[in-house]
Amino acid sequence: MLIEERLVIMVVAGLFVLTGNLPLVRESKLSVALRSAGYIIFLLNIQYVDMVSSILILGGVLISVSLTGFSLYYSKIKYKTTSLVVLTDVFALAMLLTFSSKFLIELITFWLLTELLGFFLIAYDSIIGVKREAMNAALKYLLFSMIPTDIALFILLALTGFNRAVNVPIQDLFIDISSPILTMLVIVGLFSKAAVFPLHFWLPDAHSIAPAPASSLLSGLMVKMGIYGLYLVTKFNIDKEIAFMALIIAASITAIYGGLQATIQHDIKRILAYSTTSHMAVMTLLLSMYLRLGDEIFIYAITIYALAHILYKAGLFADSGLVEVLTHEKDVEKLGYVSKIVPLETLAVILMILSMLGMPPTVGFLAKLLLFTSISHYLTYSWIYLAILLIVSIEISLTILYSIRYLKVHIVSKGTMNFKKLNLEALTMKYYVTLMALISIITTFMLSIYETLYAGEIKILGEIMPVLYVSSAMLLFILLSLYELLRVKNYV
Amino acid sequence: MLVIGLLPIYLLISATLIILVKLILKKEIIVDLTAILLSLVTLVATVNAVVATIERGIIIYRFGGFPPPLGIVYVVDKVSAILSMLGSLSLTVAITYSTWLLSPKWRYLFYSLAFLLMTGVIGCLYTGDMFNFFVSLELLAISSYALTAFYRGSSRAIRAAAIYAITGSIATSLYLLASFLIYSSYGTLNMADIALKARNPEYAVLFSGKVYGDIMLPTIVAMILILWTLLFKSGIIPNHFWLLHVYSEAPTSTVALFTSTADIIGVYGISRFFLTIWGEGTLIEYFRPFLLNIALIIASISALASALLVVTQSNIRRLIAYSTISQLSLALMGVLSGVPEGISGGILHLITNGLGDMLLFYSAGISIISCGKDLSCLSTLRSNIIAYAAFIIGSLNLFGILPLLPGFWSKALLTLGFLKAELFWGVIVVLASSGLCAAGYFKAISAIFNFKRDSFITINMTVPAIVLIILMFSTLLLGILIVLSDVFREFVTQWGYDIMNYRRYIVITLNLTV
Repeated sequence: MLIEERLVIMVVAGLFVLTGNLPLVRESKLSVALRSAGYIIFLLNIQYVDMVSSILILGGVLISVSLTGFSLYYSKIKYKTTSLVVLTDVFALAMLLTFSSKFLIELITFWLLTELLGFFLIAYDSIIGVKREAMNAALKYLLFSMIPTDIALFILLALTGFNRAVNVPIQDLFIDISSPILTMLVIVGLFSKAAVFPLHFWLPDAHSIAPAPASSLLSGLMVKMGIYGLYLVTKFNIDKEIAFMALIIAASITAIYGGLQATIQHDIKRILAYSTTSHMAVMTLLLSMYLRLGDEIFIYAITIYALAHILYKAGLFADSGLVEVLTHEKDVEKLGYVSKIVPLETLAVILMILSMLGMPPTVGFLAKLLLFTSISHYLTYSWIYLAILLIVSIEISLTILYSIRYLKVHIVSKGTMNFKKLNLEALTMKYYVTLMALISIITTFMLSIYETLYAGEIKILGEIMPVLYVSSAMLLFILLSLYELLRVKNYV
Repeated sequence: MLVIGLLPIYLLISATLIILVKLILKKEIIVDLTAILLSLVTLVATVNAVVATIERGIIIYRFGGFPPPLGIVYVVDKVSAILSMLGSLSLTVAITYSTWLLSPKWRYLFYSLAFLLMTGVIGCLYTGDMFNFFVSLELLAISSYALTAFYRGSSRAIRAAAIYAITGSIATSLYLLASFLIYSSYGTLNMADIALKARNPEYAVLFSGKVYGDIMLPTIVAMILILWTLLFKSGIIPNHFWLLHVYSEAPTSTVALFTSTADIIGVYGISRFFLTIWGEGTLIEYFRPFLLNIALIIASISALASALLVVTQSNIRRLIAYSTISQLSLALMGVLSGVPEGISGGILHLITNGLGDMLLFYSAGISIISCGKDLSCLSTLRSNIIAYAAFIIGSLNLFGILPLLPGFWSKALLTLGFLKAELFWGVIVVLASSGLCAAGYFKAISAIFNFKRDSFITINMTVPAIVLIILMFSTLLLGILIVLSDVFREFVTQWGYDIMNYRRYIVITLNLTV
């Protein structure tokens, strides 16, 4: 057997990323180039995995590339060292490797590696010596996210048998988890990764205390691993009734709770963290419908929703990092003048919020389209689906509320700006945030190329292309006018 | 097989030889080299034993040629051999480390006592006679009391040794009482003979005849007494208090030695007595599940309670001590699961715990020498990459999070065992305990990278570095073997079947024609 191509791709990509992290090169533009190249090379792995994994890898690579430069500047400005960059890169690689795993032992290895690195990223402030509470947040993450997930993974490994875990590809496995207790243990374990009730409370602390590039990856990519795990598990022989009940109840509670909590937070990162739990819950609801009904459209909906979420959440966390470094302030009530300093940033944030809310031609629009199409298709089958639609609608309304609250950081001139406190070096990061915002739009069109490559899997885009073109033009117009409006009133 | 029979004698002679070399030749370097050489020979001998058990199953050595149950016999199966190999590896490493750690004036005493300890350990692991087990246990215990008090100028060390000695003597006396009960009712002290009579009281064995009297009640009482003694020897809550004192005060190489030799005898003994001798099919079949369940509950509480305490420690020695208690409790749980995979997982967990603890102790030992026992002192390890790499690998091994390290596989085997035995709560206990312990390990690792402490004594670290490299290599080798070779995985799973196979044990030992 010749050496598997995907192994070669993984190794080469890894080498590029690690070379870019060597102490000699780390602080230069070359580092950014090398590491971005590494991630893009990883993209070649898409051809060896199924659709869900490939789109998750795509999203992961896109944000990792954007974060290469961002984490470099953030790390240098805030901590004066660049050790954060290495950790973040290896963390991103570990997650990408998890999504491209073929065998169960591979999946578990990289999954556990990701969790381990996640711990050290969350505790980073405490290790560096800046803030002691980071260790507490990390310990909470260890107890309530790592341990339950370990239980789930070890149960899956034990039930597969060690020989099969090493030799049989995951898609060919059919693990028997039909015992109700085992089903619940595995599902709750994966809930803890996706931060669904009842193991959701570690996430707001962890994601808000971690450094901004880490938060982007944690909220952007790591919570998706929970959904990915649940998706793999639905293919096995589980107790469907119990699983469905658990998924529906837990996800409904989390969706509303997360949204409500997000609207009352003061810390900008906590708004985003609670928003993550809420969106994960929506994906879990879609997954529960897939479990019951078996229609592939739910999987498309979840995947595109995940992609959209990856892009805008990572971008928003990056923005929160920039705001934090720029103003040394994380409280919504005390901010509001950011647009006066860096209007480009505000524009990027508006674009990402539009993606979150679902305006065409952003990929968020595709996500909402698929979300509502898939649920509406089955509305008349049972009252449960109507209830799900209701919950999703409430969740979206809450999204609007807390998005506006987040936007207040940028455009409401309530806070008093202390000119001397500003750290203008932070402005170098704005380009990376803008990049992430633009990717939200570009991806929509990229997906159409995707469709032609994988003909027959997703067929939506062809039908709505006219809408996308028209809305792109409209969006361009809106953004240009907003930029002019903001620019008029700035100080710098 | 000659090597097995010669080994305890050889170890006793080594202990004396070292003292003689020191008194006659006086040069420290010769004493050190002699000790290392003698321990290497031990290592080779135990490897030989492992190979022999793989080829032939069970090895018998009759002392003086007397057939059992008339004479003492050594019965070595795969589990005994593997654990003895772990013990001799840890002896070699401990002696090497001591050449760097201990003061030259008293080093020879450590070597001598370590070899005495090893005699006891080999005796316990290899023996097929219940009273011989007691004798070896006592030899092991007395050597460990002396080793604990090694820093005889420190009142805390003396106190730790006194606590260990007094409570240890009481505990082993309970075992002695149990052996009296067994002898007076069964009429024999040979393990295979007891195993046979417990299942078939009417069978007349050569030299020992049938049973003397009623064996039901004495068996039950003896089992309880033996269980309590062995729970003490492995430091399971509520018999764990001595371990905390000893692990805080004894020299680093002593503690690392204990963790792979003396402290595994408890779990090994329980597996031998409760799975081979009084395993399935004996006349106390109605009582045994009850006792095993109680022991299982005790072990679970011990695992969780000590794991919860790991993260609260600020003294690195006590942190590792609580972690050891937790891991040994998990190994005990595996052994008590009653399923071959769980038992193999328990034995493998003893090995991974030994390797992991040695890595942690030896690397932390460097920071204790140059700074102190506080957790923040670990930052001195940053000066030497081997030191903190060893600490990290040891922690990751104990947490069991990387499939390249054997700790992952022992946890996986334990999980598999509990799933097969339908003890779902056991899975939760195993993973929750190791996760809670990990909180402590990560706290320690974070302390390494905390930039606070900068002033420390610089010391020559070649010897510890060599020791740590050997240990890291062994750990990774074991892990990689398990990942890559399904023959090796099969071998590991066989250990459980081996221990539970009382029939083969009895037949081969007593040379019966079936």
